[in-house]
Amino acid sequence: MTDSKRTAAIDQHLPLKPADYLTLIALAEANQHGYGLVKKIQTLSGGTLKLVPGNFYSVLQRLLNDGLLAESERQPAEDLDDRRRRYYAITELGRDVAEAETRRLKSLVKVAEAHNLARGRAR
Amino acid sequence: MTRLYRLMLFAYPAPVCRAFGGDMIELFSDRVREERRAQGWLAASFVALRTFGELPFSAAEARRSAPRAHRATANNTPSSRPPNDPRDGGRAGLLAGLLHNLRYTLRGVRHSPAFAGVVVFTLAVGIGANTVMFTVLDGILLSPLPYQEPERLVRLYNAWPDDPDEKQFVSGSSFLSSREQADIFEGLAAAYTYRQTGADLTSGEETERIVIMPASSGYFGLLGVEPLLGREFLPEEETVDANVAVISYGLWQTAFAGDPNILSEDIDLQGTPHAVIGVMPSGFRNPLGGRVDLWRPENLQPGGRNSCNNHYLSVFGRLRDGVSLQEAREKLKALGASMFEENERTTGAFAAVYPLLDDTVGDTSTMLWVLMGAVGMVLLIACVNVASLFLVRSAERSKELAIRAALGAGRRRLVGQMITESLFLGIVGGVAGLLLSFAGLRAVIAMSPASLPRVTELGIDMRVFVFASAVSVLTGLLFGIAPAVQFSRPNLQRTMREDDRGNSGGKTHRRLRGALVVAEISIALVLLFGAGLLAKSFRQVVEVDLGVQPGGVLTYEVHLPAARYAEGQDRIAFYQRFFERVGAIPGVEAVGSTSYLPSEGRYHSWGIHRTDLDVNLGDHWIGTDVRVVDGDYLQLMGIELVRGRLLADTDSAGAPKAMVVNESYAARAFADLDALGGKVTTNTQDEWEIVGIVADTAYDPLGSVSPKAYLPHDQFADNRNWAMIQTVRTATNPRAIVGQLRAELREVDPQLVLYKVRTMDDVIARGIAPQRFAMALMMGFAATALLLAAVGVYGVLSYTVAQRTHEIGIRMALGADRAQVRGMVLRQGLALTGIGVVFGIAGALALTGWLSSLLFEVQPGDPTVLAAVAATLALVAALAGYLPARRATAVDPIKALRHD
Repeated sequence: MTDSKRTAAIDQHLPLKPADYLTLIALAEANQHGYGLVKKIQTLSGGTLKLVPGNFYSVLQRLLNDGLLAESERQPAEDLDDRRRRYYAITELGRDVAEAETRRLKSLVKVAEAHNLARGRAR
Repeated sequence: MTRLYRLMLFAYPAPVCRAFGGDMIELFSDRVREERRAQGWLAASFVALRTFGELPFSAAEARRSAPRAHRATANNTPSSRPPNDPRDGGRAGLLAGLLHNLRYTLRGVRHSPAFAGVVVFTLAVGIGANTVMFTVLDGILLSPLPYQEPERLVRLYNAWPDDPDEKQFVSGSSFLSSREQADIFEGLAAAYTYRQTGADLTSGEETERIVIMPASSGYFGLLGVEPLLGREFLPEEETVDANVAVISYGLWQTAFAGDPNILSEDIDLQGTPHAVIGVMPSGFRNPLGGRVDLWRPENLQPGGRNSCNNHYLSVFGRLRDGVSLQEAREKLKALGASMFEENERTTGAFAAVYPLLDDTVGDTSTMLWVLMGAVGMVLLIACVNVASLFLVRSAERSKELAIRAALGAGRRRLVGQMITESLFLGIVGGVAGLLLSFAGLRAVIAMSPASLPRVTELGIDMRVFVFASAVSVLTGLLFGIAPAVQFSRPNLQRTMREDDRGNSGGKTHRRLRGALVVAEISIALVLLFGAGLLAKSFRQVVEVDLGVQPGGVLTYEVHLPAARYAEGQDRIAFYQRFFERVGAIPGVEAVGSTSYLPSEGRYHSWGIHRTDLDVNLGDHWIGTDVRVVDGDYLQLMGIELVRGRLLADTDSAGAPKAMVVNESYAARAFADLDALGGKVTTNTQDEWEIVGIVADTAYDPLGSVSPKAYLPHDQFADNRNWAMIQTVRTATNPRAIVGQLRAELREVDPQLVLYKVRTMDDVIARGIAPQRFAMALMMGFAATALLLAAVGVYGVLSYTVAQRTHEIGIRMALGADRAQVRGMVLRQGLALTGIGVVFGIAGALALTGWLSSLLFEVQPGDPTVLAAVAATLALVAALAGYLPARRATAVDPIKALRHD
């Protein structure tokens, strides 16, 4: 794939929805099973993003369809409750998209800072 | 709720379920749990509702996106229609159609929220009430006991050949002989539940009062429950001085912080060291209910306390595999007879066997079945209401349907629409009903009497929820679809014309609606009548004169450990000092104590012999409840002196023995002779003189009386360490002095515990709690029924008025005045009510015989209650009819004639 094609492939996913973005971040370090992923997203968002089952499913399905996530090749050991879970991993494309989104947000923040809009507000 | 969600997940395509189902379920239950912990049940329910609510949309999306490729390959012929066309036969098409119908339904709900609201309310009440009541019934009556092979467990009582239905506690000798019958029982065990036993547990500086149950060896093994730690009692420990104990999981955790070495330590019980030999698991429950902190061995040595005349044991058995109840009964009866032949002192008593479940549930079953019947009627009314609402609704919409049919909407389309509407309201109603049942179950548990067995074990029963939901939703479906089917047939023209003339939806329809209202009214009347009877009965119970003045009286217990209060004089001295201090508390008017309170049942029915007659003692024995009293007990309890004098401080240990008897005893023992000055004995050793006669007091809340004798504690203190119940009469709120009482007790003996503090009013209220419970539930059901019936009448009349606007307008234009028009509508409502009341009365008289065992001094056919109930119902129906009637007179003739 040429660079320009690749950039186009990445750009078509931008901007990311917050839930999608956090999902990619959550998977950046380690593969997760679905439930662990939701807990991680909740922690990353400081408790503000609580996925309910329906939107959890649609986020995952969307990211899988778009090729940003894949089911993990690595089959983890069976769980204590003896139920096999599916593990998810971030794809190369997913990583690129997340990085591109980060750059996009950074540049936006810079613009905001230049206009005195990033002094931070106590919550 | 998670189970429900798991079911609902089937809405997703199978591959999605396989891939995400587990995680989604886990996530769902986690969310609900988290929310419940943080914000409570209501918030958790909203989370669940939200999830349920968005599920169809999410599932529809999943079906649209995922399996399309599948379908194309399977059919091999690409559809010429757009992929989401509802006419498309496939699943996705059906779903899109469903979404379309759903949107249409929601629009309808927005247009007439009242209709949707009433349907949802009706369904929620019917489903909710049924779920709660069936849960209670199932949990208490139908579910087996929480023990191994519970069907083989039995309870034993003593009965006599001339009184085979007697259920007397089992005597020690009868228990010991029955225990040897290895061919009948795999095991037999006894517990002491005659009266709640307590003991002071001292650890370090702290002393607390705990609940104790003395039990025989094999008690836990019989129930099939192993101790968590250690072992249970051995036969050789069934003695007075086996200082061993098995403790409950709760006590282990609270008093000993779950100490893993508990089995190697001694605990201080009543000042005596006891070895803990076992700890029971946390779920263990005694078959007769109630909290127990500690079990200790019952003294089962032959003779003495375990003679054949002392009936005090609760006995449980496990029938040997293959032995029937009947066989066991016959064998034990024969055993009793053969023992009587050998020894007449055994009085011929035999052990009577009853299934344990029947026994623990006992009298409660009638009450629960009656309540279940009542709640079933509420469901019936709810269904009738839903039917009639849908009927009215569909008639209202007949024209719309006819037009849509005329414009080419297929039958399938119309029926689909109606199904969607019915189901949508059904599901919303069902969910609301589920929420209602969670709240309802908590309320029922909170107000259920302590005597209702096993009530704390209850959790919502999903089977009945599904049943009640299915019944009501199906009713809605049936009555919702019928008109759609009708209007999709080719007689549209007539329908449109018929409707145009302002005809109220056809004769059949009208009759059916009328019949439904009549049915509702009659069922409501039956329920109201039942509730009225129970309410009247309850009032009679409350008004019963118990022979005492409970207001302002506080009762509590203080137990004197045998180690430090070994002799009668020690205990007398303690009470004297304590009474003086309590009497000095401001607001205290009188202080006293008794061995047993009135209205709490019969107890110590030892009987009395007259000794002043020159005949055999046994011939003048009269079954009499013996009460040991101290201080000013008789005065402060308001027990009226009839003749002679009350007991006084001068009736001390050395003085001539004095006794007060009640009128029942005096009348039975002395007939028309003067009982005053009579000489009697209760233990065949000492002789007592009757110095006073007092009025009868009741031994139960229904006012039953028995012969009674009152002995001064000072003169009977050596007999045993009497577990005296303390009583105090105060000028103001009796609970206000509890703090001072504790302080005074600490002054007299810092190691003693003030225990079981209750007002006398509470003691009596507890006795009538089952009646109050039955009445409250029945009133609740009846009120619901009344409300639903009123809604039904209102709905049908409103509809009629709306349909007859045209006709009413003509009548008014022709000179009919408002009163006439109003009367016309009201008459229709009252006619239906009247017919309903007649059927209802017939039904009520036929059915309320079931109630008779729950009623106190009220006949099941009580005419005043019946009249009051019929009048109430007629009044409510008239009110429900008045609003539509008034609306009818507000019709402006000009507008009415232009109507439609």
